[in-house]
Amino acid sequence: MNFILRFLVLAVPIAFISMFYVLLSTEDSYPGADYKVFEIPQFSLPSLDDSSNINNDSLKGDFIINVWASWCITCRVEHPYLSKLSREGIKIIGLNYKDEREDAVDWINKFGDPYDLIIHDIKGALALDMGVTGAPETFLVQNGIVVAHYQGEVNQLIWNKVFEPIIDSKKINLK
Amino acid sequence: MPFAPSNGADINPVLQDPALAIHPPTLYIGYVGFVIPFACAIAFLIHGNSDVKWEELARKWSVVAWIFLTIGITLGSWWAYYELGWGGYWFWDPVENVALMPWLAATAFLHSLSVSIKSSNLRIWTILLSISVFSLSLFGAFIVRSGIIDSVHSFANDPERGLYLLAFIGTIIIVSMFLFVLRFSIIKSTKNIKAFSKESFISINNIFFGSLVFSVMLGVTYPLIYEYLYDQKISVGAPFYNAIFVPIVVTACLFLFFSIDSKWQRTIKLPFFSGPTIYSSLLAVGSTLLSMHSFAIESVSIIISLFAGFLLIYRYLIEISISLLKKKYLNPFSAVAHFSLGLLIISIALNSILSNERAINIKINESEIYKDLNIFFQDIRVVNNSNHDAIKASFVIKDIDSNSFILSPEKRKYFTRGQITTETAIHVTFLRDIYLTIGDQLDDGSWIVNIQINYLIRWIWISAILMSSAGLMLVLSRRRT
Repeated sequence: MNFILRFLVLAVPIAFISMFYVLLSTEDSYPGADYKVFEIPQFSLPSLDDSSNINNDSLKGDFIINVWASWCITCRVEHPYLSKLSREGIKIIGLNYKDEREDAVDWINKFGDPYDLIIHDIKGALALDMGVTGAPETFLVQNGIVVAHYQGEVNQLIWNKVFEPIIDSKKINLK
Repeated sequence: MPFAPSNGADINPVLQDPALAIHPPTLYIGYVGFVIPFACAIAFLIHGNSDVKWEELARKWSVVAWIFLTIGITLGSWWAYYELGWGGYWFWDPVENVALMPWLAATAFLHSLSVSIKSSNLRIWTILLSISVFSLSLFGAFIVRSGIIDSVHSFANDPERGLYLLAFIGTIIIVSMFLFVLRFSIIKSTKNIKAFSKESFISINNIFFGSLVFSVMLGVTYPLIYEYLYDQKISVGAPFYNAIFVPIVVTACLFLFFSIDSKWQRTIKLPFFSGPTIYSSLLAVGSTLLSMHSFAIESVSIIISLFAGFLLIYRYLIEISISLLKKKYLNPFSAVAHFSLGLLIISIALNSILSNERAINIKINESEIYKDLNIFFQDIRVVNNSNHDAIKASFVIKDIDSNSFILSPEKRKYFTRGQITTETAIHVTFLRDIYLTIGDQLDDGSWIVNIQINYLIRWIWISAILMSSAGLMLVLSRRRT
């Protein structure tokens, strides 16, 4: 009886602590990240400079989609990191979200353009279909299929923790 | 955060409220307060001399911490009711649960402590409980701050902070438990507990409370384990907790009822047919039957809860009267605390059976009838405030006694975040709250209005405050234990 009690008072807490360690260490536990797999919804929207129409066929290969807006403060904070990714040759599609065209163009002219292509989604229609709740948000896309979604600012830490494991395991080529 | 944000997002509107501002610090005083009995227990274990009376030292501090914990939980419950618009007093939200676990453990600890002070018995329980209370308090911080559980309370999450907290809690628990195992021989009671003594009842009480803590822990962690194993989300809600709490609490109340006559450190034949037991039982049966008849109660769990609550209330009223009239000794703290428990159980039981709600569609200048209430939609207008715009509606409500009052629920839109909140309007009376929230406007111009009639909900909080006042009496009393 005494032995059992002594064993239990050590074993039960250790079991609980190990359990929480395992739960915390799983990749899903990163808040803001989810790995639901879905196709990019059908859409047809103008580009930001209004020179062309962008639809599903315009988006080929593997890339990331970054949801941004000129009114979004965090997007400005995030911008240097996106520029760095862009300089490394990573393909980034911008999804300009609920923004006036003029403001968005001014913003790009002022801070620089890390995007290969910018979709102008003034009503947030495509964003809504993709499950966007605000800006900034970032999607990782492989051949038209979304494989990762992050709500919030992407930086080196988030890139390493949320995106890189998926890029490596699914052999995604963003360049 | 790796950098300071360029500009803030404003404090979340549901947090812009005085009861919010006060409930977490109150809870934290409670949590942190339990470091004192914990430290005393650890010092006792390290010192290793079984003659040291650490329990005496820890007593008042533990009671103070328990008072703050009780009041903190009550304030939190009240805040969720009127500010979050939850419309009830308890939702088995994971963060409510992690506050309830230390409270249950602390309550058991205080009982166990009183035995250890008297006779150095139950020391194993007392020490394990003192370690549990403090560990469970830390566990609360872990759950809220690690982001492991989604809840209204998880405002700021960070898994790395979670790992840090886990390492901290783990070190504390494992080191304490090693000490416990190492010093087991000095903690062990040398005397046996006598059957039907107060000590025997309190050790049974420890088992009941231990089971409750374990069940809540299971309810909090099971969905996490399940999601990890099967990748599916499940939720554990009120049915699970009710199924466990009702039978355990009712049985504990029956034990409490008979323990009132028991004596410290000796076996006596419990007087099952004494005046107080018989009269209080008869009164309890009568009151329960009357409630069943008046409110058409059929649920067995409600009936047994009512019976247990009435049993305690009448018994303690009789005991208190006897002690006042005949100057017979009665532990006043125990009497007030357990009387409040009876009141709490009855309030909860009647609240759950009597309260009701309905969503109605109503146009301006129209009336609707709900139960005994006549609701007239008088007016709706836009109000501009410093940090939000609001739509404010006015309803004139008449009850069966032709008392008339105005309720003005609001919908607010906060500028900085664009967040929309609902402000409830509540009319408080002695027995019930009339609780109104306004929803959206429909295409035909009518508004969705949710009306709730919450019976005895104030009495739930009053019982909890009364219970904590028993603790306050003990802290302020000059009587040596």
